[in-house]
Amino acid sequence: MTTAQELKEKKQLYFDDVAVGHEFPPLVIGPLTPTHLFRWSAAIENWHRIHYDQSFAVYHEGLPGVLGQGSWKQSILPRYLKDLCLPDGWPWKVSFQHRAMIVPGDTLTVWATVTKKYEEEGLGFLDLDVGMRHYAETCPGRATVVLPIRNGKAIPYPFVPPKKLVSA
Amino acid sequence: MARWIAIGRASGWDELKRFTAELKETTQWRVDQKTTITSVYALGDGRMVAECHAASQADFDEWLRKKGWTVESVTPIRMVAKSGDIWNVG
Repeated sequence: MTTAQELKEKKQLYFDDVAVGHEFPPLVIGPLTPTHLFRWSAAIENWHRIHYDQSFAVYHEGLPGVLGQGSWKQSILPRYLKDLCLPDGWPWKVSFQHRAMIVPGDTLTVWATVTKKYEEEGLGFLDLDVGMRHYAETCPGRATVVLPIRNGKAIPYPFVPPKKLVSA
Repeated sequence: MARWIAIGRASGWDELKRFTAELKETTQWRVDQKTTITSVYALGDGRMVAECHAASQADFDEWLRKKGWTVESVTPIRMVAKSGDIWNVG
């Protein structure tokens, strides 16, 4: 898990420093406990019993245990991409599928690999394959992040994607 | 999803270290997408009890075989009471 202090001190990754095929350092989370799941349910007010009631999950729903929330996974991948881009880059977009359940005991590895890089309007764009693995790939997907080019212009905030890329 | 209780013996499983090693990792109790070992008890007389839900008993039998259990019985479960919650699972 990345600490707040590590993020605060993180050096900028530049577009120039990344090649196609580059594998970013993974983020490892876990082993998950019911406390992780309950904390998320409380935070987003998701009271479905499959996320905190072990007996209900197992004996009523036939699940392997209480389930990790899809919305929690949806928060983790953007957070990972945001951390990769800090402090001056921008995670533009991400999409992925939910393919496997996660339960307490699982350890998740969030990962990203560069599949394409290109420049547009003076900014550096990276297309990525992304995912979240335990013993299977639970969330395969794709993302695009924007990194500054060394000695290039700053990425505007708020980020507005180039029209050419939006209409593509 | 059907459920069964197995009663048997498993050499060494009465030691916490071995018990933990056999069951801690998710993949050891969540055998596949449809087979879950939901509870395992080590009894005071040396016998073991395991509860499973799975698509077929053969999946549970396979786990017991892989784990080296000497099985006395495997019986379907009809109802479960857990701390006051009653579940009809038969």
